[in-house]
Amino acid sequence: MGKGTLRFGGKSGILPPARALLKNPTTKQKPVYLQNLEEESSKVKTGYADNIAHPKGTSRESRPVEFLDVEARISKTIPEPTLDRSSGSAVAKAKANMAALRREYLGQSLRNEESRLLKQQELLEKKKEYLKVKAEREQAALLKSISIDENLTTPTLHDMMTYLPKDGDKKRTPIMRQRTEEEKEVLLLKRQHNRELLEIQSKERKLEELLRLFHVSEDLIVTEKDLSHYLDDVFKTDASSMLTRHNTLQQISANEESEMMNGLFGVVSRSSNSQPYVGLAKTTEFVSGEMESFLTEVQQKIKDLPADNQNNV
Amino acid sequence: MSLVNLGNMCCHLQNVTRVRSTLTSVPYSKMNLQISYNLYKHGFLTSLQRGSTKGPDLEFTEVTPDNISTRRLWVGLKYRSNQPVLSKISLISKPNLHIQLNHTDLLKVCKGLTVREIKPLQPGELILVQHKGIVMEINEAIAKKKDNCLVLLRAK
Repeated sequence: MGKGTLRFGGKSGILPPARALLKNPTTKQKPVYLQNLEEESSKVKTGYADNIAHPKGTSRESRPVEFLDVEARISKTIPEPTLDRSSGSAVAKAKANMAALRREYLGQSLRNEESRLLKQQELLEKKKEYLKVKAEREQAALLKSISIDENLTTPTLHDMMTYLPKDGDKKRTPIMRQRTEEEKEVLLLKRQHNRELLEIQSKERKLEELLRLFHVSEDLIVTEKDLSHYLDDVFKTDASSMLTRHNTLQQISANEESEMMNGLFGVVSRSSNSQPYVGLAKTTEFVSGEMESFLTEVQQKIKDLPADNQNNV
Repeated sequence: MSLVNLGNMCCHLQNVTRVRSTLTSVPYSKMNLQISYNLYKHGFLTSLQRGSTKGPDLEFTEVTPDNISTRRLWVGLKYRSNQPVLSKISLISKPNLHIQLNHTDLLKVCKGLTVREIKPLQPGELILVQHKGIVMEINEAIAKKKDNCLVLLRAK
């Protein structure tokens, strides 16, 4: 056995594929051919993207398919002879007959080829249609047989787990219920309230510190006279007792008392026995005019009281 | 979709079966829900309940954005002769190596062939695949003629 023959099933070789008689699709094939082409192009997009340049010497768009008119081809390739050779010699007549026969055969073969191609196309379409229907039927049968709804042995947990999508049902129940418009609004208000509360607390704290600074500024040493006076005081009294004075328990309790006083009556007691400082609450009341309106209201009420009761007040 | 969370779940289930725990919880997510449901359907779990971090729900609780962080899925684990039914559960696709198989390859795995390092399906073993967000068993995917399925995990 010669070299490579086993590859071709023990034959000495294989014939090349038969060349197509018609190189292009014919005009009669045109509608189905174009329809198939459209279907394919809708599935797979081909060509160059907008931002991609195409190679030099090539066309950006593919060349449109040329359809072949078989009758036109026949009349062009094998036209009837213009000269009448019937009156010629016997040899010429025989040649003319042979040529006519060849023309006839070629035309016939081209027409036959076209009809074969049309038949083939028709069969392929039929096959495609049949396969499509078959696949649809199979899928429907599969879904029907596997459907959980009809399978009584499967636990009803499927329904409990509302997220799980059902067969063929593309719509899924969400795993979590989203907030309603009302809930969203309430949440927004809550957040706004929290933010504003924090802001106001911080402002109050700053204001309180400012007020404390204002009160403390009375004791600050700002002039030379104050400094000499303070130094005299320090060296006059016992220094050690002055240093430890701030950490004594009495001082701590005094601080607490001052905060309490501020909270209750809006005053801050001083360390010494002098007049207490005005606290934040009282200052705010005074600045906002609330204190004044309260006083006028009280006075108005006292005036409205009968004369006997006014003496008791 | 990352498979890290799924890997964590597999690891957790394997760990709890080794200490013979009967009830455990996993995060409440779409993927975990589908995986646990499939495990339950194929007899690897005794129960599957929704619940919170405190325990399974005694009454129906709606999942809202306010309580989603505390929601858990409670799964009951199965044992037989003091051996866990779910003895091994591991990822096939990895977070950085997703393996997608077409219908023919899925069929090969079930027929007993190794495809892309995936060992064939053994008796009593479960391979879960995902197709368009739906998790199903490999045989179900083949029967439904699903193509391009992401192979998630195997359990036995």
